[in-house]
Amino acid sequence: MKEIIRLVCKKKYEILGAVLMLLLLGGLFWRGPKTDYEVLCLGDSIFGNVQNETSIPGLLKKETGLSVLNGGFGGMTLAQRNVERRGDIQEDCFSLVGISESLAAGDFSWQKGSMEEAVHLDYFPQTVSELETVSMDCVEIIVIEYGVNDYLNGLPLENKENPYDKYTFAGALRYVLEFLQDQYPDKQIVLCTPTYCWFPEENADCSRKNTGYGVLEDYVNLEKIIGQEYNVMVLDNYHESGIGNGNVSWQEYTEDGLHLNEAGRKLIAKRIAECIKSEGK
Amino acid sequence: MKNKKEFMKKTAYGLFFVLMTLQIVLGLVWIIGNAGKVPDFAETKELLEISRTWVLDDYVGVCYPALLWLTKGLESVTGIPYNLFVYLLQTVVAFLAAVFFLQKSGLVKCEAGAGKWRLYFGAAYLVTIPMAAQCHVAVLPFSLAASSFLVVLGEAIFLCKKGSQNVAESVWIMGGGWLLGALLLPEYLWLIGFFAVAVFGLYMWKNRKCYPLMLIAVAVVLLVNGLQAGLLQEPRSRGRMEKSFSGAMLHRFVWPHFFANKYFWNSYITDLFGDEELLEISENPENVARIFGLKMEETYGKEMADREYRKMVGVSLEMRTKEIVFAVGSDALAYACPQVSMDLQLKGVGVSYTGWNYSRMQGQMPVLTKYYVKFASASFYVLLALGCVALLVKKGKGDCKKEKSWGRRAFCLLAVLELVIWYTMSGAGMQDYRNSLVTATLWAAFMVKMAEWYRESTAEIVAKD
Repeated sequence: MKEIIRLVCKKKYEILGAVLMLLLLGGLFWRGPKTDYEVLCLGDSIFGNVQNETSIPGLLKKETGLSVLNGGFGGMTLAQRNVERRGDIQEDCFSLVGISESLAAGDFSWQKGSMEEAVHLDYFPQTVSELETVSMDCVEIIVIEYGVNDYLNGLPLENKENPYDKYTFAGALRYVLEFLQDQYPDKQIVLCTPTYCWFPEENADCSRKNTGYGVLEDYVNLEKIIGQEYNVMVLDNYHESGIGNGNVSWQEYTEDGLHLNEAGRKLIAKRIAECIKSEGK
Repeated sequence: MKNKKEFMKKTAYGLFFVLMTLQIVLGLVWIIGNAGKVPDFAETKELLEISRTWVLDDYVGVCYPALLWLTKGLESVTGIPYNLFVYLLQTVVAFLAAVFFLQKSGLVKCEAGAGKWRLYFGAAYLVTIPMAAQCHVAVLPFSLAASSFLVVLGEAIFLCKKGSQNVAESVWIMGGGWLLGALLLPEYLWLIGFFAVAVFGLYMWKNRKCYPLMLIAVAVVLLVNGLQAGLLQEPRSRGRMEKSFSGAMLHRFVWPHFFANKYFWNSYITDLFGDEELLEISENPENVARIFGLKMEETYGKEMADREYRKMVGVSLEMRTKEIVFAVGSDALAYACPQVSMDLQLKGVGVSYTGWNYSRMQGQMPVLTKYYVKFASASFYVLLALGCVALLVKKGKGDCKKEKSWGRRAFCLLAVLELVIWYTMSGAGMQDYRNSLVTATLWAAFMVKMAEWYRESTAEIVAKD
């Protein structure tokens, strides 16, 4: 004991320096309080492009009474796109793969560092800072809604040689589900498939337009299979939401054939809410 | 009063020691943790392909593909992954280059024995700057090229110091460093070359004597590079425009305004590129070389393409003066102080490759990467502040004059200046910190020097007591 005291007295300057440094660094690293949300919605423009209470996450909050964070990034894909790994193509940071990894690491530096270069919408910085402060301990449900941009960008459905290929739709989905289940084993994951869509300018719809690797339904069916593989809830908005069935025209539920109008958003929010309630949340 | 001074200096020295130690520990853990992985860079894929096909253009030196070919051979013999050989070599060379630089430049004065650990400690600090550590464990030529520059810089300072008269050894070291750098990264032919030739010239002028060995060294480096260019490098063979002064100006001054300025382009341009293509080029800077320049040079030939580039540069400078001046200024600042710019860029400030590079750095250890990079940035600010205080105190005491370190400062400034100018003027408005390793290392060397000053001051106080 005496020796320790002697050592402390001898090294008092170093110890004081260390204490000062710790205080200083504590101040530099402190990022403010965390925000508590019960539901985290990760998705593309279907979630992200409307940021008010009439967005799907906003309506979900109203329907369930749970606190919901809108983590949607319009135009973004589930899989990664930068196949060449070129430094000047940085949209991958907003893909589901990129967002999930950043969420788990609690580090959104990639997104912030790429914000100016990546093609992005005005609300992206705000969404990133909200995701940065979300307390994942409080999140109970993660709702995932991606896929239509993977289809529109003609991303490959699957790589038979590598089932976890993050540059294919199925591989990225497998990777993310496994990753999230590993990181957050106690969270409920709800997988929402894309809804039916029309392309009025081309006088076509998603059941006829093949973007390279198939029609939208191929992506949806694959998503359902993988969802079942990982034992997560799959909400089939393509076949079961009523959008696109029978004689429903694109004007009824969408603004432009692809992006949902308020009626469409209400419909999907209600379906997600029912799904969550059925699970007893 | 004396006690207060003593207290402050000892505390500052303690801070330097603790912060540097923590960075070294974090850096070493990060390096070891990431040694098993090859970061996903387009350049890595390209270099590996070159090591098989030997199709080179003027953007790639022959030395790194040769190293990959060799380590791939070792892999097939030993079964040990090639990247481990590459990383080990890069990290060891970086450490030795840092030791060499700190010793030769006189930043760490160490007499045999006791002082050696300070030299190794300082070198370890230089090696573990996050952006440098990332390059040591990546299949990219930046780490080795920066090490070669550092060796040349250290030797140049040593050569021009009074009393260092072994000119032949200095010429060999500088010539070797220059040659290696140039064969790793083609731009280092000019970057180290300008520096080395200036130093040789200055030395000959100062001593009023011609040293044929210096002239021979310059001739050999130029000859070897000429052979590389003539025999191995085939411009445009890898789907990029040929490197040239006009091409660099096109990158710098016209991007990202290819589409926005479309009404000002003449028919040579508009006949060849539609709106969609111009938009694509404006979105991604690498498309200037891959789409625009390549198509121009293949259609009109190099000479005429260069003429058109210069016309476009003139138009852009006239139409977008403010934006260009701002972009050049911010890039220059970012290249001049890479540690600060990296920190700001990761917080969302400015346009750069930093986000992308960082995503590759996260690799297998994203959480450690976060704390490592954030710690290094935060400690850099603390050490910088302490270093500035030390400089002011030194100036007040007149120690700066006593030290006679103007030659060292001038050489370091010259090196930083040419690196900043080169990369600012040849880039397309997007700073890439992998090109700033030498500058970042020099900032870290400044910290090492200031730590030494605090140590010497506290030692003086103890001796007086």
